[in-house]
Amino acid sequence: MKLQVFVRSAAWLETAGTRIRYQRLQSELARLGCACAIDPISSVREGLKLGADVYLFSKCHDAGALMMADMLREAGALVGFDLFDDYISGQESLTFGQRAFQRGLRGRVDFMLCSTPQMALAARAYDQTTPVHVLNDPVEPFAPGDLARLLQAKLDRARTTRRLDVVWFGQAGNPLFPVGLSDLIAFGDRLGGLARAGWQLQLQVLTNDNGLDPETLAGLRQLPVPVELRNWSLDRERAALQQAALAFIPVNYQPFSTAKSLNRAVTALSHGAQVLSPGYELYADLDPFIYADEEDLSRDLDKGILRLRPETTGALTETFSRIADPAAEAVAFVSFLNGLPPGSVQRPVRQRRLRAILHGAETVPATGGLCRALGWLSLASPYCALVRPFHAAVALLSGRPEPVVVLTKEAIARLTPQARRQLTPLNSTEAAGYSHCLPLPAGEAGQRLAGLSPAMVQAGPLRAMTYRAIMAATEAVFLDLFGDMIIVWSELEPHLVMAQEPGDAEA
Amino acid sequence: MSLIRSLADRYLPHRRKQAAKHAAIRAVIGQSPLFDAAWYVERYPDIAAAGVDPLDHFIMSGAAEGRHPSAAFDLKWYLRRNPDVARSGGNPLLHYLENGRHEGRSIRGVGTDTAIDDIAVRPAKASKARQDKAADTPAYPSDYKSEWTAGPTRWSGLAADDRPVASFRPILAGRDVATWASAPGVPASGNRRAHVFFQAWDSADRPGFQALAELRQPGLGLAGLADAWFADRSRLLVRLPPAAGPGERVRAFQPDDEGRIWVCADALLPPEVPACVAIAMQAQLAPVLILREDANGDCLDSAVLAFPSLLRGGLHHAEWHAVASQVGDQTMEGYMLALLDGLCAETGPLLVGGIAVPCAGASGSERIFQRGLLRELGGFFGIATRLADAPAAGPLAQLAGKLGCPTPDMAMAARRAGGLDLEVPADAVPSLACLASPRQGYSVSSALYCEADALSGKPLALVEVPALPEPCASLNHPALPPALLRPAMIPDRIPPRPAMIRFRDARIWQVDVLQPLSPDVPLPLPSGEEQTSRVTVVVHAEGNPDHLGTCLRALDRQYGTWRLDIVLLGDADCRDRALHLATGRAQVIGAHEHLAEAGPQLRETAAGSDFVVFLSSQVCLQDPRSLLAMAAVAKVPGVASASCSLMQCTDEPGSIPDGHSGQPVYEICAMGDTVGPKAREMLQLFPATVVPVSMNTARLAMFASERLAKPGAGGTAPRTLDDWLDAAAERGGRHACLTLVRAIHLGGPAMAASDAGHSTEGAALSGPVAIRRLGR
Repeated sequence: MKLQVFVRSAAWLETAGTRIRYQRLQSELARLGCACAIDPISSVREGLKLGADVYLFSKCHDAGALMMADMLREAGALVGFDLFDDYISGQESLTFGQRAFQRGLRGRVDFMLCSTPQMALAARAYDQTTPVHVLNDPVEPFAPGDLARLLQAKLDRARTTRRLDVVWFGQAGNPLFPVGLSDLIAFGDRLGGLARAGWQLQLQVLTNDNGLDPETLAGLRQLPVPVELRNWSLDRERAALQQAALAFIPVNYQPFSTAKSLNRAVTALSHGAQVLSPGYELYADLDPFIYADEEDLSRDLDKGILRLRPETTGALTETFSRIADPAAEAVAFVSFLNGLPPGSVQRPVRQRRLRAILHGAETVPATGGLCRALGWLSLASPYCALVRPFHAAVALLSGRPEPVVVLTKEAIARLTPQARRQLTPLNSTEAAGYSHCLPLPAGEAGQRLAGLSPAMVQAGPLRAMTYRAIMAATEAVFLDLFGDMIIVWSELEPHLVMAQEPGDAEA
Repeated sequence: MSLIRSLADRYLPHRRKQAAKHAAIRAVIGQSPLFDAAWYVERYPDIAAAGVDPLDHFIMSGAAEGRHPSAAFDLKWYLRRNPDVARSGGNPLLHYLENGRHEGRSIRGVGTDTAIDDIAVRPAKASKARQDKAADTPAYPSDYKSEWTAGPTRWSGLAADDRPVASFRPILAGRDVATWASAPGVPASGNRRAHVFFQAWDSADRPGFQALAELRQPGLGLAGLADAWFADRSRLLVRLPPAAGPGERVRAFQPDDEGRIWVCADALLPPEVPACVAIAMQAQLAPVLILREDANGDCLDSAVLAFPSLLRGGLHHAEWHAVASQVGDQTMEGYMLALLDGLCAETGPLLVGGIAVPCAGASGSERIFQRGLLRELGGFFGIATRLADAPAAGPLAQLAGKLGCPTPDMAMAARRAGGLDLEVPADAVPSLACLASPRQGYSVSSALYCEADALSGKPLALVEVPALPEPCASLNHPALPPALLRPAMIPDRIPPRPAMIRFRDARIWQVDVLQPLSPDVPLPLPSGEEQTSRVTVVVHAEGNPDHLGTCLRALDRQYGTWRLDIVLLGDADCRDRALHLATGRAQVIGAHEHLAEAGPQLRETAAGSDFVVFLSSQVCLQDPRSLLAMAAVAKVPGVASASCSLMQCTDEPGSIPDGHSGQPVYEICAMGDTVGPKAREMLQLFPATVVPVSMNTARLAMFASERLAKPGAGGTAPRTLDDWLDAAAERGGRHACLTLVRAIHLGGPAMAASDAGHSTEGAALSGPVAIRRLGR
């Protein structure tokens, strides 16, 4: 079996998510005869062959990925999406786009992957039919003997000096939810409890600087322990955990946090750090090794018998083998894939339909390249402000009373014979990149587009009110000109993603 | 550690050199009027929050970060103008003071355009006015001569045998506290406070706060402290006058929630210079006793911080800001005594017996859920906290299970028996005024609360929201913390004190600027009625004629089963244009030039309608739920008219960005009769709710038709919208404005000016929302 994982970009290959979730599985999958490749989705533009049996899209939330999924299923492959974080449960947040995308997945994928059962529940609330598999984040292999020695050394040092090196690591924040450093600040009083018990704490915070606004910094300064703030890197994280007696991992109770994977605690424990995790009991599976209460930790420190100690490393290994063992996770994943019902029936190449992406007001520019690489049409709606030439566009040209459809030569080759007969050439100055134009068809959609005014295209209430109708009319016009094809709208502007007609909501 | 550091400073050559250099720079900059510590911490609140010495901060890092030392010295301008100084990497102010001014280099004030060549022309920092003010203004530690004398002290139990505290061994060894406190030759007040404090917690019956009632006579002794603030959540810095003699010490004591007293500071005071002493706090809600003793251990003076959380950086600091802004001449000591007065009153139980927190919008990381605070509320005030509507399963059910807080058997616990349950949003904590009020004679208003930043605790605003009728107040966003407080209490004294402090986190309160109610969330309003509602819409065509089409199109898109009869007011061109506009449910049934002309038709149409709406053609009801939401409010008994806030496109800096690229930036241009800067603040305060206003805007108002059954005085047809608004108000109604849905104002910025002319006299039973910005 060949498994192809597509990540959002080349930079994404370096992220913790990719490293923990896929790279740690690769060798185990290979042992099971499953060759797993991880590439950015853009590599398709650069000639990556699409010959895998299973495709997994990771954090690719755009029309290009959706269309590609559809195309790969048509070619007989199994296609799934890995849902990393819960952006879809909280209805009060501005994650309209994520929720709309999640709804858009219904019926378009063969399976979904989640990292926790909680996330699987969130996904099932949107789609009760598509199979969901919980793929736990695998642990990095470690030597139990080394871990035992490290634990003893850390305990001895803490008891001798009464000093506890504490580490917090992770993303500084999230523009949509109060997580990350907000949790550290909110639950930081628990560290004060250890200080009151006579332990001298030094907190090292390893994070990125994106969320470090003045309020957050002021909040960090109010923590009851000295704080050292450092930029996160994988090496620093490893070094800090190797040194620290304690990893502080508070978790709040909002859906985004309660659906998180266990990887932070797993990483900390496997590096010999005790874990103090107040708040939501996200790490219940690791309960025998985790402290929720600083008083318990202080008591155990005084006694010299910690929950994670040389004698319990065996139990930790056993627990990891249940919930985070790469081999076990690989087996479970492959079994899940093998157990899936057969995907869509492979359609012969000649019967495959033409595909097009219709770009809205805000779109992913790279999708154009994907369209060219895969033979799809890239079509621009009147809202699209990108200068990149598309195959065709509905445009208001100066000097013309109403909008026209402008086309490139590639698009002309795919026009219906009737439409081709109406082509008129464009002046070279009229629309850069396009060679010909067509009048709007005479039907209802054409009439609607003919009534287009600049106010409807500019950002504002009129655009929001007419967006859906104009996009639908644009789609109808293109269908009229190119004949039968599959069109997916590419829209990242949240207001417009959610733009509804009254009838939609009432239904 | 501090001892090691101090020894290292003294004996390691390079450390000694560094320390000497730092002291020399302090001397040069600290004595200059170009460094203004008060201004510095005011401009850079993170420094105040951090509790670091501003002068040290400026020398060590502030200058390198480009921070200005005072309003009189624009550091960045000085560096730009003197690239040689910038290249040197040295402290620009130090350069100016040591070299630049002698070389004739100029400086410039922050935010001014004029360079100043001679600083002597400006008033010196220590002017007479400044000196006169000094008595009232808390000094900052960096006023040149301050000196840090003690690092944080580790907590040590006063009565713990295994960790005896040397300085208090004599007391524990049998020296009676009362005898000691009344020893001859020492000021009686200091002894008295110490005696009362120890009696309150260290005696067998532990009367707690109630024993502190005795302090109302001699006062709390705060006058002896120059300033006090929280460096962090468990470190209180107190600034004290210089020692009068050698060997003078300062000690601090605090009870924990189980009544044990802990020593939390112990430091020698330096002679001649004021000292900053760090107190390691057990709890923010527990009183602190600070003693000054001479070399013999006799008490010279004392102070009790009865409610330390009011201090800068404390949990209730916003409350103190609010009270100080409400009643200008109130001192911190006066306020603490007033709170003690309420807490110790012999008038039955306390007002609040328990705290109920609704789940809406709760993430579990809010301050009200912090375990330390829960324990303190139980231990010091006998108040338990619970989730008001805990779900049976899920994460919040787990949180509910963790809230149960047994109340220790303290005197306060007995007084809570008759108390009420106070419902507070998850992002709030009760004010001290609320916690300390007796049930009888309280002066707390549930409609008055303070706003503070969730992360930094910085005070933001004091908000007064008159309570609406319950059905109206319940129209909140179903997933956000309740925006209006439930009317649990009614103030009976003036001025009332705030009931709570709300710690606002913009990420929880975020809503779409144009559609504050998420399109995913079912509208929390009565669903569409079975029968078609008939609405008469009076559209006043004005401004850009193209906007009329947008306005009518938006009307046609409204959810619900409406029959919309449109009566158009405007000139002939407008009327012609409107008649040609093809609409669905919205039908133009008449067109007139003025409202007075339309009177007879309106009276007739309105009589057969369920609602009447006045709408400017400049207003677009973009959100299709607008009419449904306004109708739900308009039908509430006691509501005269309903409107919603209007948003206007702007390029003004500081307006509300919506966070999405490609969308214009909006500012609020009108909400009822409240316009201008206040309205913008209101939008931030009430992302999705209903607020009472004194008059609704002439651009958008909806009436339930039965409120209009009796037109203006004399039975004549209304000639202006004001007539209609007055008539509705006369029938016993309030005007309500929604932020649950928002309309868009398509026109220019004339809205504020035109609405400002509204007469509000006698129009409403309750005034509009009042907001007072807090800040130093």
